[in-house]
Amino acid sequence: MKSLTIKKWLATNVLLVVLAVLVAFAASLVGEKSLPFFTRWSAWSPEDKDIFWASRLPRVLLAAVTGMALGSSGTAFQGLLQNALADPYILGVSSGAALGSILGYALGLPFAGIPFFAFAASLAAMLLVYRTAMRGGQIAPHTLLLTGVILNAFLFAFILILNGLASFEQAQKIIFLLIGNLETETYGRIGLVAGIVAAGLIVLTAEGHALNLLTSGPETARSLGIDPNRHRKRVFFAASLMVGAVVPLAGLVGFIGLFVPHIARWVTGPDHRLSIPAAAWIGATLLIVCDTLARTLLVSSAFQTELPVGAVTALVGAPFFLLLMKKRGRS
Amino acid sequence: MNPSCLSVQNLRFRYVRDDVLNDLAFDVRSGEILALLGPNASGKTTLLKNMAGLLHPSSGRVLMNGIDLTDRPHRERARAIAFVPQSEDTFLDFSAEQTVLMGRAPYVGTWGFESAEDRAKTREAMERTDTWILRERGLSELSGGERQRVILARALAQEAKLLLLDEPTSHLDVRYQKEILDLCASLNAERGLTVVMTLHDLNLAALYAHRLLLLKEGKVVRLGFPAETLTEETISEVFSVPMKVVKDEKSGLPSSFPIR
Amino acid sequence: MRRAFRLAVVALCLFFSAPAFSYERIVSFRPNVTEILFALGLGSKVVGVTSFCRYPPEAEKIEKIGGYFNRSLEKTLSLKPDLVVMVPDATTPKVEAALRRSKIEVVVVKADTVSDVETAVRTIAAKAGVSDKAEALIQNMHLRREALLKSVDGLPKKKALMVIQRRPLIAAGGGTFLDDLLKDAGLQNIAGSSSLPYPHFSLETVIAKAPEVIIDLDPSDAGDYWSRYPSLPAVKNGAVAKLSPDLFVPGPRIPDALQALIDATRAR
Repeated sequence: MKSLTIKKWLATNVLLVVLAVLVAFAASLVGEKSLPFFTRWSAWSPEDKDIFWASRLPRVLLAAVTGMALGSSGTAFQGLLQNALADPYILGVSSGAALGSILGYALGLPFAGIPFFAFAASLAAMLLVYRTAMRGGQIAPHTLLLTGVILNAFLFAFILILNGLASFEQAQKIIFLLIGNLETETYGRIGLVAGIVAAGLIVLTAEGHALNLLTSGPETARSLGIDPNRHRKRVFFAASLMVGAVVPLAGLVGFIGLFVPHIARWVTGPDHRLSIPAAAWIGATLLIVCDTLARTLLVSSAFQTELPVGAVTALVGAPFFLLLMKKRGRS
Repeated sequence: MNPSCLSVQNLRFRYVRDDVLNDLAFDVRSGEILALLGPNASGKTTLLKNMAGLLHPSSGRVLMNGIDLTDRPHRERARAIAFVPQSEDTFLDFSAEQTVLMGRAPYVGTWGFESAEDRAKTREAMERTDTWILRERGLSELSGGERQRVILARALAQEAKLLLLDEPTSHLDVRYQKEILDLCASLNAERGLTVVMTLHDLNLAALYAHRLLLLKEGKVVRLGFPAETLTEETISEVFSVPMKVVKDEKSGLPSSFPIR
Repeated sequence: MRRAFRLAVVALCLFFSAPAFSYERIVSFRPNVTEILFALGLGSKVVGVTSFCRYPPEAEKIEKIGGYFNRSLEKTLSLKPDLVVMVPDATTPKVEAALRRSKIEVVVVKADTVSDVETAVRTIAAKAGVSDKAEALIQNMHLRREALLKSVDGLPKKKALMVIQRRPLIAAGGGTFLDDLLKDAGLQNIAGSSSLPYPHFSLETVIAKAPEVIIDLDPSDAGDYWSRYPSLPAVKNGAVAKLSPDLFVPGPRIPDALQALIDATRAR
């Protein structure tokens, strides 16, 4: 693998952004009703305008923002924790965010406050897992994953308690939050979340070089002139903020944070300065594809129903991941 | 007399409750090769990491040019002191060149992109250690000796005047042991690098180091030239086994063996 | 003739069910069951209901045995019921078996469609020995329904969507009593062709099928949700009716629900 130059950085990012935009465009074409994309806007029927403007576009945008957040934060988590199986979902960070947002909604907070509530909970979850798995400057990989499993169970118990206390209608919403759902959102909310995700992505990309050094161990990183703790904190903060921002809207979408980092590194090489933004674009692309499947697969069948996007990402992600593990022969 | 490169003053270090290093005081002279010797758990590696600024002394100080290492910003310290660990985590398979480029970390800006100068210095460091041909190979594909040379190249790319190596010869066969120590010796001779390393092998230490520091239970037993340090009495006491020392007729260097 | 038929039905019910017996301590496992019990004049015998049983208001004062799916068997047993009435769901078979082991009589009634509700009324009444009341109740429901059907007779069959929950969008599908109500109101349910009772409906499908009437039963504030889709004929014509889901219970108040539905959608 050749080393990274600014030229390669720019070329790869531009290429992946173009790919994401093309897929978003194609996804906007596909659906229950195909839209007359190659005619001018004023000639569109009001129904087509509504389908595009009020349903399909916000959905594609939310999928893109969510995919960006999960892909890049997953890459950062894997690099920081030196564990190829780490992702926000498995470590309980997403569940933390889910609990935070359910509490936020239950307390009747205005929406702008919810991502920060979710962020606080996801950061707390992250730090708990990290502190538990850290032994004398080293992260015990099995302890890390097991702690994530236990924490997930614990947080889910809390969520189920809230679910039991909530009204029947609220309980339905909690269930959909747990499965993951990208259905129609207002542009205002998507914009707010996109802003947070963009800020997080910039911080994580800037931390890419430090993450490279940290993959050789905290001691080496220190000897090369960085303070491991300061950079770890920044990465945890930014990644938890991104997860906290998307979970209140999209719910728990699994597997994206797990397999997108692998695809990103396969495309770009291990250098985090590039693999983190690349994972954002690849995550956006893949989640748009998964959500397009979710909203089209069964909609014309006798069921006339949509699928939860979280189910599609797991259906696509789990076999893909098993294949990847088998091919690589090691994790 | 060479000026002092690093000055260890009343250094004490403890993990949890136990003293690992107990009131050490000595100077590293500029341009010398100093070997730290001692039995397992004598505190060699802990001492080296304190000298590298990777661990902070519980009390006492490590001074470089009169400034306490713990008061120096990390980047500045990394430009002055390079550290080669005994082994390194390799979660991601960075290429040899990417690894050596990381040695430029104390010089790059926020976004971490290396300049043409950084690349030139990286190439030079890799050529000096005969690793330039390995540049596109991943670290996991390299042999132990090759990997050790790549990590040494990374330390060279740091352009530090003081090079600290933790057990640079462990896990290597005798040919690669000689190769890596020859490299250290020639860097010391050509560039005036000060080299401090921990070693297990007393004979290799006598062969390559200008001075030896013998440690036992966190205390300095002796510091001096090989011929005066490696006496039967001293090393038998340090390693708690009876040892025999033979002097090479030509070089006058001591070789030591355990007695059955 | 009709009277004779009705008598035959009653006789059959009496024949097949356990001999009529006066129950003094009845527990209801569903809000619609509670409503049926009260409508049959058995309200004073009801000693346990769910926390969702809010109609009639007297029901609120009765001991609660739990919520929708998390009913407490121990609480139920502690009320020493002689009859428990439930609607089958995933959790009922176990509870039913446990109650029967404790020698408590159990009646299980379906409540998916309007005719299920009538059967449920008859079954419960037969069990409690008040079949005459059941016939009067059903007769009354039929009369009101027929009057309401007449009121919409000849009106155009508008396309309608009944929304249970907005986000994600859950609609009333085919084979439900809500679908029956839409039909009776002279409306054509655009989700009625789904084979699922409550499909997760695609918004795009909604827009493409262009409902002229939307009945929004989601209890939370809709805000500007519907105005985001100005091309929907229902939105364009101001035909989005927000109704309380409390009325849409598969019980004796079905005519009231139908009345409310017609008032909200057809009267203007």
